[in-house]
Amino acid sequence: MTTRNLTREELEEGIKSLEQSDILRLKGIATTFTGGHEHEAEDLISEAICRVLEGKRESCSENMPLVYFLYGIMRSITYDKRKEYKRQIKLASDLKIEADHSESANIDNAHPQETDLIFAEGLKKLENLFSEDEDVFLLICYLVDEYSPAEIQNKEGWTQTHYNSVRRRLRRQWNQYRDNGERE
Amino acid sequence: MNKHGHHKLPKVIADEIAKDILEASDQEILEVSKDIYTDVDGEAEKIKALIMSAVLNSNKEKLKLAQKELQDRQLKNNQLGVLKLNIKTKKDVIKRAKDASSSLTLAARNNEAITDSDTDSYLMDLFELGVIDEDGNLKK
Repeated sequence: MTTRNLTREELEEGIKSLEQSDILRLKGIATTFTGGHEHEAEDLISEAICRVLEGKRESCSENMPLVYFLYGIMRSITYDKRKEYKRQIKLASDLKIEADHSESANIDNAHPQETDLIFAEGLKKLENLFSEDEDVFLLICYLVDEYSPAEIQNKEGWTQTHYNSVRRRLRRQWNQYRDNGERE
Repeated sequence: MNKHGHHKLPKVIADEIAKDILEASDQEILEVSKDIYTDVDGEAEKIKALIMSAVLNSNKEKLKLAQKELQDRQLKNNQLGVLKLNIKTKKDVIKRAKDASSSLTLAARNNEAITDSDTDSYLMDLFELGVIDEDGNLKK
């Protein structure tokens, strides 16, 4: 059986009819992707809605919940921007090297470290934050090492329910940290 | 609101947190939101307004594109050589096109219906239908 893609009109109608819980989900996801930056999160939601209605992105199948589709769009926008940011930093660094004609060996390796610092810093914060919650700490380590949820469950002997519970603790404590600051 | 700077999470961690938000029940989403926002309804209303504004902007953009498309079409049509001919020649072109084309409707074949002021729009239609070329020559 083939599935149909939603038309622009159907997408618009679906977006206008989003329930409060889905609106809060979108805000939560956007805030997660933007590292807690309120305005960036709102811009991300607006940009995703515009992209969906422009119809330039992959279409939304009628079987897919709209909030999942919007999550995918926000994710693409976020990581495209991160890639572009890294590219620009590298370009700026390369141009600087060319202009300076100076010892490029030291500077040349500086940009990847510099750009990854933002993300490495987030990771370090997470590790500090969850050092007392062994399961969440393990989850973070596995995810950073690119293990899939199924592989993590298999390695640790976690059930799906246990995995979900650990992941929920990760989200809740990260939100708490983001909103209230570091645990002393 | 983040009170302690902004920390972009590593991609894999952000993805898992986002999936958890997607899979959480409506009830849990509301409960967690109460911990985050002092006024959950107000926050949801604010985001809803933002969404509606994005929809409105997108529709305006769509309208602007349609208008530009129309202008481009008019501009393109105004550059047709056939429109620079005198009125008698234009009518001859239309007559030849009608006689030659079996695909035109009966109404379109009605000679009497075409006034001098209608000739240009009629020629543009014939051009867009592919009946004549830009200089008024019949296409095979």
